[in-house]
Amino acid sequence: MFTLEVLNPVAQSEGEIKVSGTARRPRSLDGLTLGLLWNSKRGGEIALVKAGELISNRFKDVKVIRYDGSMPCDKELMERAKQECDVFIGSTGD
Amino acid sequence: MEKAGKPSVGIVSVGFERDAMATARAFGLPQFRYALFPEVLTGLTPERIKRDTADAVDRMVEVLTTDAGGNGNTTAAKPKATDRLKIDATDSYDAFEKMNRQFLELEWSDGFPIIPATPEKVERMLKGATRSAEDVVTVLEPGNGLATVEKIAINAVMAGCEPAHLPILIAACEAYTGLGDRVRAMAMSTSTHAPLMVINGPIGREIGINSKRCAMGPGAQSRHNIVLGRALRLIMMNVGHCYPGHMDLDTIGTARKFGMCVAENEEETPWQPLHVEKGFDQEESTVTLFATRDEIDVNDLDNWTPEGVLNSMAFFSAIPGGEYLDQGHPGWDPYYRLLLMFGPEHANICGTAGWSKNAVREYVYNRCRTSARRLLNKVLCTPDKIRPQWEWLLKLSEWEQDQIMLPVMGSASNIEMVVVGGPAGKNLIYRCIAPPSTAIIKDRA
Repeated sequence: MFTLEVLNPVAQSEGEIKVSGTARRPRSLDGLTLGLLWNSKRGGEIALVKAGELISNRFKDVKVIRYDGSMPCDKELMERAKQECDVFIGSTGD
Repeated sequence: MEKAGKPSVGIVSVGFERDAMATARAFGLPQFRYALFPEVLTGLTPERIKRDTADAVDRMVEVLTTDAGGNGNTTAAKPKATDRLKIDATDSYDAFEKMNRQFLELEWSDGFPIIPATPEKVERMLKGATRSAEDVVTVLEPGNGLATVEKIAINAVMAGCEPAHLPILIAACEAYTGLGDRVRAMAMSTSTHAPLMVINGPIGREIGINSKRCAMGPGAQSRHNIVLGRALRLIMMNVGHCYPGHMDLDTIGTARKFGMCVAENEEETPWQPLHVEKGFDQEESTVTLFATRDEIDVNDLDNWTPEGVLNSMAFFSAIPGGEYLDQGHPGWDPYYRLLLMFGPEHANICGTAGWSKNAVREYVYNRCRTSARRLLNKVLCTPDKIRPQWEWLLKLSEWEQDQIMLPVMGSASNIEMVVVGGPAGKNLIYRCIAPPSTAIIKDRA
Protein backbone atom coordinates (compact mmCIF):
# COMPACT_ATOMS: atom_id res chain seq x y z
CA MET A 1 0.00 0.00 0.00
CA PHE A 2 1.28 3.44 -0.92
CA THR A 3 -0.25 6.85 -0.16
CA LEU A 4 0.71 9.86 -2.24
CA GLU A 5 0.02 13.26 -0.73
CA VAL A 6 -0.11 16.29 -3.01
CA LEU A 7 -1.03 19.93 -2.55
CA ASN A 8 -4.09 21.43 -4.21
CA PRO A 9 -2.89 23.69 -7.07
CA VAL A 10 -6.12 25.70 -7.37
CA ALA A 11 -6.09 29.23 -6.02
CA GLN A 12 -8.96 30.75 -4.17
CA SER A 13 -10.74 33.46 -6.06
CA GLU A 14 -11.29 36.95 -4.73
CA GLY A 15 -14.94 36.35 -5.58
CA GLU A 16 -15.06 33.38 -3.16
CA ILE A 17 -13.78 35.56 -0.35
CA LYS A 18 -15.96 38.59 -1.03
CA VAL A 19 -19.44 37.54 -2.15
CA SER A 20 -22.17 39.98 -3.15
CA GLY A 21 -25.87 39.34 -3.57
CA THR A 22 -27.70 40.57 -6.63
CA ALA A 23 -29.55 43.88 -6.53
CA ARG A 24 -33.16 44.06 -5.33
CA ARG A 25 -35.59 43.81 -8.23
CA PRO A 26 -38.47 46.10 -9.13
CA ARG A 27 -41.89 44.40 -9.48
CA SER A 28 -42.41 45.97 -12.89
CA LEU A 29 -40.33 47.79 -15.48
CA ASP A 30 -43.00 50.51 -15.86
CA GLY A 31 -41.47 53.98 -15.85
CA LEU A 32 -37.89 52.74 -15.62
CA THR A 33 -34.84 53.55 -17.73
CA LEU A 34 -33.39 50.46 -19.43
CA GLY A 35 -29.70 50.50 -20.37
CA LEU A 36 -28.51 48.35 -23.26
CA LEU A 37 -24.82 47.57 -22.77
CA TRP A 38 -22.91 46.27 -25.79
CA ASN A 39 -19.21 45.42 -26.12
CA SER A 40 -19.26 46.05 -29.90
CA LYS A 41 -19.06 42.36 -30.86
CA ARG A 42 -21.25 41.90 -33.91
CA GLY A 43 -24.83 40.74 -33.37
CA GLY A 44 -25.13 41.84 -29.77
CA GLU A 45 -26.47 45.26 -30.74
CA ILE A 46 -29.23 43.72 -32.86
CA ALA A 47 -30.41 41.58 -29.95
CA LEU A 48 -30.24 44.50 -27.53
CA VAL A 49 -32.17 46.91 -29.74
CA LYS A 50 -34.84 44.27 -30.35
CA ALA A 51 -35.08 43.52 -26.63
CA GLY A 52 -35.43 47.24 -25.93
CA GLU A 53 -38.28 47.48 -28.44
CA LEU A 54 -40.11 44.46 -27.04
CA ILE A 55 -39.80 45.65 -23.44
CA SER A 56 -40.91 49.19 -24.37
CA ASN A 57 -44.01 47.70 -25.98
CA ARG A 58 -44.79 45.57 -22.95
CA PHE A 59 -44.29 48.16 -20.17
CA LYS A 60 -45.42 51.77 -19.79
CA ASP A 61 -43.07 54.74 -20.16
CA VAL A 62 -39.85 52.76 -20.48
CA LYS A 63 -36.91 54.88 -21.58
CA VAL A 64 -34.19 52.99 -23.44
CA ILE A 65 -30.57 54.12 -23.69
CA ARG A 66 -27.99 52.19 -25.72
CA TYR A 67 -24.32 52.20 -24.71
CA ASP A 68 -21.82 51.08 -27.36
CA GLY A 69 -18.80 49.97 -25.40
CA SER A 70 -15.71 48.12 -26.44
CA MET A 71 -13.40 45.36 -25.23
CA PRO A 72 -12.39 46.42 -22.63
CA CYS A 73 -15.28 48.74 -21.88
CA ASP A 74 -14.53 52.37 -21.20
CA LYS A 75 -14.89 53.03 -17.46
CA GLU A 76 -16.41 56.49 -17.97
CA LEU A 77 -19.12 55.00 -20.17
CA MET A 78 -19.93 52.43 -17.49
CA GLU A 79 -20.12 55.13 -14.83
CA ARG A 80 -22.43 57.25 -17.00
CA ALA A 81 -24.64 54.22 -17.64
CA LYS A 82 -24.93 53.56 -13.90
CA GLN A 83 -26.03 57.13 -13.31
CA GLU A 84 -28.57 57.18 -16.13
CA CYS A 85 -30.32 53.79 -15.89
CA ASP A 86 -32.34 51.68 -13.45
CA VAL A 87 -31.88 48.23 -15.05
CA PHE A 88 -29.61 46.75 -17.70
CA ILE A 89 -29.40 44.14 -20.44
CA GLY A 90 -25.88 43.27 -21.58
CA SER A 91 -24.53 41.43 -24.60
CA THR A 92 -21.06 40.38 -25.73
CA GLY A 93 -22.28 38.69 -28.91
CA ASP A 94 -21.62 35.23 -27.47
CA MET B 1 -23.94 46.90 -12.38
CA GLU B 2 -25.47 44.45 -9.88
CA LYS B 3 -22.93 45.57 -7.28
CA ALA B 4 -24.02 49.16 -7.92
CA GLY B 5 -27.60 48.13 -7.10
CA LYS B 6 -28.78 47.92 -10.70
CA PRO B 7 -30.69 44.77 -11.70
CA SER B 8 -29.08 43.29 -14.80
CA VAL B 9 -29.48 40.39 -17.17
CA GLY B 10 -26.86 39.08 -19.56
CA ILE B 11 -27.47 37.60 -23.00
CA VAL B 12 -25.51 34.33 -23.03
CA SER B 13 -25.24 31.92 -25.96
CA VAL B 14 -25.36 28.15 -25.68
CA GLY B 15 -21.83 26.91 -25.01
CA PHE B 16 -20.93 30.02 -23.01
CA GLU B 17 -23.05 29.32 -19.90
CA ARG B 18 -20.18 27.91 -17.85
CA ASP B 19 -18.01 30.85 -18.80
CA ALA B 20 -20.71 33.32 -17.76
CA MET B 21 -21.18 31.70 -14.36
CA ALA B 22 -17.45 31.22 -13.74
CA THR B 23 -16.92 34.90 -14.51
CA ALA B 24 -19.79 35.88 -12.22
CA ARG B 25 -18.33 33.81 -9.38
CA ALA B 26 -14.88 35.34 -9.97
CA PHE B 27 -16.45 38.74 -9.33
CA GLY B 28 -18.31 37.47 -6.25
CA LEU B 29 -21.75 37.31 -7.88
CA PRO B 30 -22.78 33.64 -7.73
CA GLN B 31 -26.48 34.59 -8.07
CA PHE B 32 -25.95 36.17 -11.48
CA ARG B 33 -28.68 35.15 -13.97
CA TYR B 34 -28.84 35.30 -17.74
CA ALA B 35 -31.10 34.77 -20.74
CA LEU B 36 -29.90 31.83 -22.81
CA PHE B 37 -29.76 32.21 -26.60
CA PRO B 38 -29.63 29.06 -28.76
CA GLU B 39 -26.76 30.26 -30.94
CA VAL B 40 -23.72 32.54 -30.88
CA LEU B 41 -24.87 35.85 -32.35
CA THR B 42 -21.77 36.87 -34.29
CA GLY B 43 -22.45 34.73 -37.36
CA LEU B 44 -26.25 35.03 -37.53
CA THR B 45 -28.43 37.08 -39.84
CA PRO B 46 -30.19 40.06 -38.23
CA GLU B 47 -33.57 38.34 -38.75
CA ARG B 48 -32.45 35.26 -36.85
CA ILE B 49 -31.04 37.32 -33.98
CA LYS B 50 -34.33 39.21 -33.68
CA ARG B 51 -36.28 35.93 -33.62
CA ASP B 52 -34.01 34.51 -30.90
CA THR B 53 -34.44 37.74 -28.94
CA ALA B 54 -38.22 37.54 -29.13
CA ASP B 55 -38.01 33.99 -27.75
CA ALA B 56 -35.77 35.13 -24.87
CA VAL B 57 -37.45 38.36 -23.81
CA ASP B 58 -39.72 36.69 -21.24
CA ARG B 59 -36.65 35.37 -19.47
CA MET B 60 -35.04 38.82 -19.55
CA VAL B 61 -38.08 40.36 -17.91
CA GLU B 62 -38.20 37.55 -15.35
CA VAL B 63 -34.56 38.11 -14.35
CA LEU B 64 -35.04 41.87 -14.10
CA THR B 65 -38.22 41.69 -12.01
CA THR B 66 -37.83 38.71 -9.67
CA ASP B 67 -35.42 38.56 -6.75
CA ALA B 68 -32.78 35.84 -6.74
CA GLY B 69 -32.75 35.80 -2.97
CA GLY B 70 -29.96 38.33 -2.56
CA ASN B 71 -30.21 41.70 -0.88
CA GLY B 72 -27.18 43.35 -2.45
CA ASN B 73 -25.13 42.90 0.71
CA THR B 74 -21.52 41.81 0.59
CA THR B 75 -20.09 39.14 2.87
CA ALA B 76 -16.40 38.52 3.44
CA ALA B 77 -14.63 35.28 4.35
CA LYS B 78 -11.03 34.59 5.29
CA PRO B 79 -8.69 33.01 2.73
CA LYS B 80 -8.35 29.30 3.39
CA ALA B 81 -5.15 27.29 3.70
CA THR B 82 -4.08 25.00 0.88
CA ASP B 83 -5.60 21.58 1.34
CA ARG B 84 -3.87 18.28 0.69
CA LEU B 85 -5.14 15.40 -1.41
CA LYS B 86 -4.32 11.81 -0.48
CA ILE B 87 -4.15 9.16 -3.20
CA ASP B 88 -4.08 5.56 -2.02
CA ALA B 89 -2.52 3.08 -4.42
CA THR B 90 -0.71 -0.23 -4.59
CA ASP B 91 2.69 1.38 -5.20
CA SER B 92 4.26 4.70 -6.21
CA TYR B 93 3.78 4.10 -9.97
CA ASP B 94 0.12 3.30 -9.46
CA ALA B 95 -0.22 6.44 -7.30
CA PHE B 96 1.38 8.55 -10.02
CA GLU B 97 -1.09 7.26 -12.60
CA LYS B 98 -4.07 7.63 -10.25
CA MET B 99 -3.12 11.18 -9.36
CA ASN B 100 -2.79 12.10 -13.04
CA ARG B 101 -6.19 10.57 -13.81
CA GLN B 102 -7.76 12.42 -10.90
CA PHE B 103 -6.18 15.73 -11.90
CA LEU B 104 -7.47 15.27 -15.45
CA GLU B 105 -10.98 14.63 -14.12
CA LEU B 106 -10.74 17.78 -12.03
CA GLU B 107 -9.40 19.67 -15.10
CA TRP B 108 -6.29 20.71 -13.15
CA SER B 109 -3.87 19.33 -15.76
CA ASP B 110 -2.81 20.51 -19.22
CA GLY B 111 -3.20 16.93 -20.47
CA PHE B 112 0.43 15.82 -20.24
CA PRO B 113 1.54 13.81 -17.20
CA ILE B 114 2.27 16.11 -14.29
CA ILE B 115 4.82 15.79 -11.49
CA PRO B 116 3.18 15.21 -8.08
CA ALA B 117 3.36 18.43 -6.04
CA THR B 118 4.20 16.72 -2.78
CA PRO B 119 4.68 18.90 0.32
CA GLU B 120 8.40 18.12 0.18
CA LYS B 121 8.78 19.11 -3.47
CA VAL B 122 6.80 22.30 -2.95
CA GLU B 123 8.91 23.15 0.10
CA ARG B 124 12.04 22.71 -2.01
CA MET B 125 10.56 24.83 -4.81
CA LEU B 126 9.78 27.63 -2.35
CA LYS B 127 13.48 27.78 -1.42
CA GLY B 128 14.12 29.15 -4.92
CA ALA B 129 12.68 32.54 -3.98
CA THR B 130 13.04 34.83 -1.00
CA ARG B 131 9.33 35.60 -0.64
CA SER B 132 7.01 33.95 1.86
CA ALA B 133 4.70 31.19 0.67
CA GLU B 134 1.58 33.10 1.67
CA ASP B 135 2.56 36.37 -0.07
CA VAL B 136 -0.01 37.31 -2.69
CA VAL B 137 2.04 38.26 -5.77
CA THR B 138 -0.99 39.43 -7.74
CA VAL B 139 -4.59 38.56 -8.53
CA LEU B 140 -4.81 36.64 -11.79
CA GLU B 141 -7.65 37.24 -14.20
CA PRO B 142 -9.98 36.02 -15.53
CA GLY B 143 -10.88 34.05 -12.37
CA ASN B 144 -9.41 36.66 -10.02
CA GLY B 145 -7.38 33.93 -8.32
CA LEU B 146 -5.06 34.87 -5.48
CA ALA B 147 -1.60 34.15 -6.88
CA THR B 148 0.27 33.33 -3.71
CA VAL B 149 3.90 32.28 -3.95
CA GLU B 150 2.79 28.84 -2.72
CA LYS B 151 0.20 28.34 -5.49
CA ILE B 152 2.74 29.46 -8.09
CA ALA B 153 5.24 26.99 -6.60
CA ILE B 154 2.75 24.09 -6.62
CA ASN B 155 2.02 24.59 -10.30
CA ALA B 156 5.72 25.00 -11.01
CA VAL B 157 6.41 21.61 -9.46
CA MET B 158 3.60 20.05 -11.52
CA ALA B 159 5.16 21.47 -14.70
CA GLY B 160 8.58 20.00 -13.90
CA CYS B 161 10.28 23.23 -12.87
CA GLU B 162 13.32 23.66 -10.64
CA PRO B 163 13.56 26.05 -7.67
CA ALA B 164 15.66 28.48 -9.74
CA HIS B 165 12.64 28.94 -12.00
CA LEU B 166 10.33 30.19 -9.26
CA PRO B 167 11.43 33.88 -9.32
CA ILE B 168 10.91 33.87 -13.10
CA LEU B 169 7.35 32.61 -12.67
CA ILE B 170 6.64 35.16 -9.93
CA ALA B 171 7.79 37.88 -12.34
CA ALA B 172 5.76 36.29 -15.15
CA CYS B 173 2.62 36.58 -13.00
CA GLU B 174 3.39 40.26 -12.42
CA ALA B 175 3.93 40.76 -16.16
CA TYR B 176 0.66 38.93 -16.85
CA THR B 177 -1.24 41.37 -14.66
CA GLY B 178 0.75 44.16 -16.31
CA LEU B 179 -1.06 43.38 -19.56
CA GLY B 180 -3.88 45.28 -17.86
CA ASP B 181 -7.27 45.32 -19.47
CA ARG B 182 -6.02 43.07 -22.29
CA VAL B 183 -5.48 40.09 -19.97
CA ARG B 184 -9.07 38.96 -20.35
CA ALA B 185 -8.88 39.17 -24.15
CA MET B 186 -5.72 37.05 -24.10
CA ALA B 187 -7.02 34.48 -21.64
CA MET B 188 -10.67 34.12 -22.60
CA SER B 189 -10.96 34.85 -26.31
CA THR B 190 -12.50 32.59 -28.92
CA SER B 191 -9.22 33.23 -30.82
CA THR B 192 -5.90 31.41 -30.39
CA HIS B 193 -4.34 33.96 -28.06
CA ALA B 194 -1.42 32.66 -26.01
CA PRO B 195 1.33 34.24 -23.89
CA LEU B 196 4.95 34.16 -25.00
CA MET B 197 7.60 34.72 -22.32
CA VAL B 198 10.84 36.38 -23.42
CA ILE B 199 13.63 36.29 -20.83
CA ASN B 200 16.35 38.94 -20.86
CA GLY B 201 19.42 39.62 -18.74
CA PRO B 202 21.93 37.37 -17.00
CA ILE B 203 19.45 34.85 -15.58
CA GLY B 204 18.93 33.24 -18.96
CA ARG B 205 22.64 32.46 -19.33
CA GLU B 206 23.02 31.45 -15.67
CA ILE B 207 20.20 28.93 -15.76
CA GLY B 208 20.68 27.85 -19.36
CA ILE B 209 17.43 29.04 -20.90
CA ASN B 210 17.84 28.40 -24.60
CA SER B 211 18.16 31.46 -26.81
CA LYS B 212 19.68 29.69 -29.80
CA ARG B 213 18.82 26.77 -32.05
CA CYS B 214 15.25 25.53 -31.77
CA ALA B 215 14.76 27.64 -28.64
CA MET B 216 11.00 27.64 -29.19
CA GLY B 217 10.90 23.91 -29.87
CA PRO B 218 11.09 20.57 -28.08
CA GLY B 219 14.18 18.75 -26.85
CA ALA B 220 16.78 18.68 -24.13
CA GLN B 221 18.39 21.96 -25.21
CA SER B 222 15.15 23.76 -24.37
CA ARG B 223 14.25 21.93 -21.17
CA HIS B 224 14.07 25.12 -19.09
CA ASN B 225 12.08 26.94 -21.75
CA ILE B 226 9.58 24.07 -21.96
CA VAL B 227 8.82 23.74 -18.26
CA LEU B 228 8.66 27.51 -17.73
CA GLY B 229 6.15 27.93 -20.53
CA ARG B 230 4.18 24.96 -19.28
CA ALA B 231 4.16 26.29 -15.72
CA LEU B 232 2.71 29.61 -16.84
CA ARG B 233 -0.14 27.77 -18.60
CA LEU B 234 -0.85 25.67 -15.49
CA ILE B 235 -0.79 28.87 -13.42
CA MET B 236 -3.23 30.51 -15.85
CA MET B 237 -5.51 27.50 -15.41
CA ASN B 238 -5.27 26.69 -11.72
CA VAL B 239 -4.56 30.16 -10.34
CA GLY B 240 -6.26 32.33 -12.98
CA HIS B 241 -9.06 29.75 -13.44
CA CYS B 242 -8.64 30.01 -17.20
CA TYR B 243 -9.87 26.50 -17.92
CA PRO B 244 -10.79 25.48 -21.48
CA GLY B 245 -14.55 25.53 -21.84
CA HIS B 246 -15.06 27.60 -18.70
CA MET B 247 -13.14 30.81 -19.07
CA ASP B 248 -10.97 29.93 -22.06
CA LEU B 249 -13.46 29.87 -24.93
CA ASP B 250 -10.95 29.32 -27.73
CA THR B 251 -12.84 28.01 -30.77
CA ILE B 252 -10.17 25.68 -32.18
CA GLY B 253 -7.17 26.07 -29.89
CA THR B 254 -3.46 26.04 -30.63
CA ALA B 255 -0.36 24.13 -29.57
CA ARG B 256 1.12 27.52 -28.59
CA LYS B 257 -1.08 27.41 -25.52
CA PHE B 258 0.92 24.58 -23.97
CA GLY B 259 3.65 27.10 -23.32
CA MET B 260 6.11 29.42 -25.01
CA CYS B 261 9.25 30.65 -23.31
CA VAL B 262 12.53 31.76 -24.83
CA ALA B 263 15.57 33.82 -23.90
CA GLU B 264 16.74 36.58 -26.20
CA ASN B 265 20.02 35.79 -27.96
CA GLU B 266 21.78 38.79 -26.47
CA GLU B 267 25.22 37.50 -27.49
CA GLU B 268 24.44 37.71 -31.19
CA THR B 269 22.01 40.59 -31.49
CA PRO B 270 23.39 43.69 -33.20
CA TRP B 271 20.88 45.80 -31.31
CA GLN B 272 19.96 46.72 -27.76
CA PRO B 273 18.25 43.76 -26.09
CA LEU B 274 14.52 44.05 -25.53
CA HIS B 275 14.73 44.87 -21.81
CA VAL B 276 17.30 47.65 -22.29
CA GLU B 277 15.10 49.15 -24.98
CA LYS B 278 12.25 49.08 -22.43
CA GLY B 279 14.32 51.06 -19.94
CA PHE B 280 15.83 48.32 -17.79
CA ASP B 281 19.51 47.91 -16.99
CA GLN B 282 21.54 45.47 -19.10
CA GLU B 283 22.41 43.49 -15.94
CA GLU B 284 18.82 43.28 -14.73
CA SER B 285 16.92 40.11 -15.55
CA THR B 286 13.40 40.48 -16.86
CA VAL B 287 10.51 38.55 -18.27
CA THR B 288 8.43 40.14 -21.00
CA LEU B 289 5.04 38.73 -21.91
CA PHE B 290 3.69 39.03 -25.42
CA ALA B 291 -0.01 38.26 -25.91
CA THR B 292 0.35 36.47 -29.25
CA ARG B 293 -2.48 35.63 -31.63
CA ASP B 294 -0.59 33.59 -34.23
CA GLU B 295 2.84 32.61 -35.55
CA ILE B 296 4.20 32.95 -39.08
CA ASP B 297 7.42 31.35 -40.35
CA VAL B 298 9.33 33.73 -42.63
CA ASN B 299 11.38 31.59 -44.95
CA ASP B 300 13.89 33.72 -46.87
CA LEU B 301 17.10 31.92 -47.85
CA ASP B 302 17.66 34.02 -50.95
CA ASN B 303 18.29 37.59 -49.78
CA TRP B 304 21.46 38.99 -48.23
CA THR B 305 20.59 42.71 -48.12
CA PRO B 306 18.63 44.52 -45.39
CA GLU B 307 16.01 45.56 -47.93
CA GLY B 308 15.52 42.02 -49.21
CA VAL B 309 15.31 40.49 -45.75
CA LEU B 310 12.99 43.19 -44.41
CA ASN B 311 10.74 43.05 -47.46
CA SER B 312 10.14 39.39 -46.59
CA MET B 313 9.28 40.32 -43.02
CA ALA B 314 6.92 43.05 -44.20
CA PHE B 315 5.21 41.00 -46.90
CA PHE B 316 4.72 37.95 -44.66
CA SER B 317 3.23 40.28 -42.01
CA ALA B 318 0.72 41.86 -44.37
CA ILE B 319 -2.27 39.90 -43.13
CA PRO B 320 -5.52 41.83 -43.33
CA GLY B 321 -6.28 43.30 -39.97
CA GLY B 322 -7.31 46.86 -40.54
CA GLU B 323 -9.37 47.26 -37.40
CA TYR B 324 -8.69 50.96 -37.74
CA LEU B 325 -11.24 50.99 -40.58
CA ASP B 326 -13.99 49.69 -38.36
CA GLN B 327 -15.81 51.83 -35.86
CA GLY B 328 -17.21 48.70 -34.22
CA HIS B 329 -13.97 48.20 -32.27
CA PRO B 330 -12.79 51.68 -31.41
CA GLY B 331 -10.62 50.50 -28.58
CA TRP B 332 -8.73 47.76 -30.39
CA ASP B 333 -6.34 49.30 -32.83
CA PRO B 334 -3.94 50.98 -30.37
CA TYR B 335 -3.38 47.63 -28.67
CA TYR B 336 -2.18 45.61 -31.64
CA ARG B 337 1.50 44.80 -31.97
CA LEU B 338 3.68 42.95 -34.45
CA LEU B 339 6.57 41.04 -32.88
CA LEU B 340 9.42 40.41 -35.32
CA MET B 341 11.50 37.53 -33.96
CA PHE B 342 14.70 37.70 -35.98
CA GLY B 343 17.19 34.88 -36.23
CA PRO B 344 20.68 36.31 -35.65
CA GLU B 345 21.72 35.98 -39.30
CA HIS B 346 19.13 38.37 -40.68
CA ALA B 347 19.35 40.65 -37.66
CA ASN B 348 23.07 41.06 -38.33
CA ILE B 349 22.58 41.66 -42.04
CA CYS B 350 20.56 44.71 -40.95
CA GLY B 351 22.66 45.66 -37.93
CA THR B 352 26.07 45.55 -39.63
CA ALA B 353 24.70 47.67 -42.46
CA GLY B 354 23.86 50.33 -39.87
CA TRP B 355 20.11 49.79 -39.60
CA SER B 356 18.82 50.69 -36.14
CA LYS B 357 15.74 49.04 -34.64
CA ASN B 358 13.71 52.15 -35.43
CA ALA B 359 14.92 52.17 -39.04
CA VAL B 360 13.80 48.53 -39.34
CA ARG B 361 10.43 49.40 -37.81
CA GLU B 362 9.81 52.26 -40.23
CA TYR B 363 10.86 50.19 -43.24
CA VAL B 364 8.69 47.21 -42.31
CA TYR B 365 5.69 49.38 -41.39
CA ASN B 366 5.82 51.23 -44.71
CA ARG B 367 5.85 47.96 -46.68
CA CYS B 368 3.51 45.92 -44.50
CA ARG B 369 0.47 46.73 -46.60
CA THR B 370 -2.40 44.99 -48.22
CA SER B 371 -5.11 46.02 -50.64
CA ALA B 372 -8.12 48.03 -49.57
CA ARG B 373 -10.29 45.26 -50.99
CA ARG B 374 -8.83 42.72 -48.58
CA LEU B 375 -9.17 45.05 -45.61
CA LEU B 376 -12.73 45.93 -46.55
CA ASN B 377 -13.79 42.30 -46.34
CA LYS B 378 -14.11 42.97 -42.61
CA VAL B 379 -17.10 45.21 -43.29
CA LEU B 380 -18.49 43.35 -46.30
CA CYS B 381 -21.64 42.31 -44.41
CA THR B 382 -21.73 45.38 -42.18
CA PRO B 383 -20.78 48.41 -44.34
CA ASP B 384 -22.43 50.72 -41.80
CA LYS B 385 -19.59 49.86 -39.39
CA ILE B 386 -16.89 51.57 -41.44
CA ARG B 387 -15.50 54.79 -39.99
CA PRO B 388 -16.73 57.87 -41.86
CA GLN B 389 -13.29 58.85 -43.14
CA TRP B 390 -13.00 55.54 -45.00
CA GLU B 391 -16.48 55.43 -46.52
CA TRP B 392 -15.12 56.61 -49.88
CA LEU B 393 -13.40 53.23 -50.28
CA LEU B 394 -16.76 51.49 -50.46
CA LYS B 395 -17.70 53.53 -53.53
CA LEU B 396 -14.78 52.16 -55.55
CA SER B 397 -14.94 49.14 -57.85
CA GLU B 398 -13.28 45.92 -56.71
CA TRP B 399 -10.52 46.55 -59.27
CA GLU B 400 -9.91 50.02 -57.85
CA GLN B 401 -9.94 48.67 -54.30
CA ASP B 402 -7.29 46.16 -55.37
CA GLN B 403 -4.97 48.97 -56.53
CA ILE B 404 -5.00 50.86 -53.21
CA MET B 405 -2.50 49.53 -50.69
CA LEU B 406 -3.12 50.38 -47.03
CA PRO B 407 -1.16 49.57 -43.87
CA VAL B 408 -2.47 46.61 -41.88
CA MET B 409 -1.70 48.32 -38.58
CA GLY B 410 -1.77 51.79 -37.13
CA SER B 411 1.84 52.82 -36.52
CA ALA B 412 5.52 51.80 -36.85
CA SER B 413 5.81 52.11 -33.08
CA ASN B 414 3.51 49.07 -32.80
CA ILE B 415 6.38 46.86 -34.04
CA GLU B 416 8.46 45.01 -31.41
CA MET B 417 11.71 43.13 -32.12
CA VAL B 418 13.74 40.37 -30.46
CA VAL B 419 16.59 38.19 -31.68
CA VAL B 420 16.38 34.44 -31.06
CA GLY B 421 17.74 31.31 -32.67
CA GLY B 422 20.73 29.67 -34.33
CA PRO B 423 22.37 30.21 -37.69
CA ALA B 424 20.18 30.25 -40.84
CA GLY B 425 18.08 32.83 -42.53
CA LYS B 426 14.80 32.17 -40.78
CA ASN B 427 12.57 34.47 -38.77
CA LEU B 428 9.22 34.30 -37.05
CA ILE B 429 6.44 36.83 -36.81
CA TYR B 430 3.91 36.95 -34.01
CA ARG B 431 0.88 39.18 -34.30
CA CYS B 432 -0.05 40.30 -30.78
CA ILE B 433 -3.20 41.71 -29.26
CA ALA B 434 -1.60 43.89 -26.60
CA PRO B 435 1.49 45.92 -25.87
CA PRO B 436 4.05 43.65 -24.16
CA SER B 437 4.43 43.74 -20.39
CA THR B 438 7.82 43.47 -18.68
CA ALA B 439 8.60 42.65 -15.03
CA ILE B 440 11.94 42.45 -13.26
CA ILE B 441 12.95 39.02 -11.99
CA LYS B 442 13.84 39.57 -8.36
CA ASP B 443 13.36 37.56 -5.17
CA ARG B 444 16.08 35.09 -6.23
CA ALA B 445 17.30 32.98 -3.33
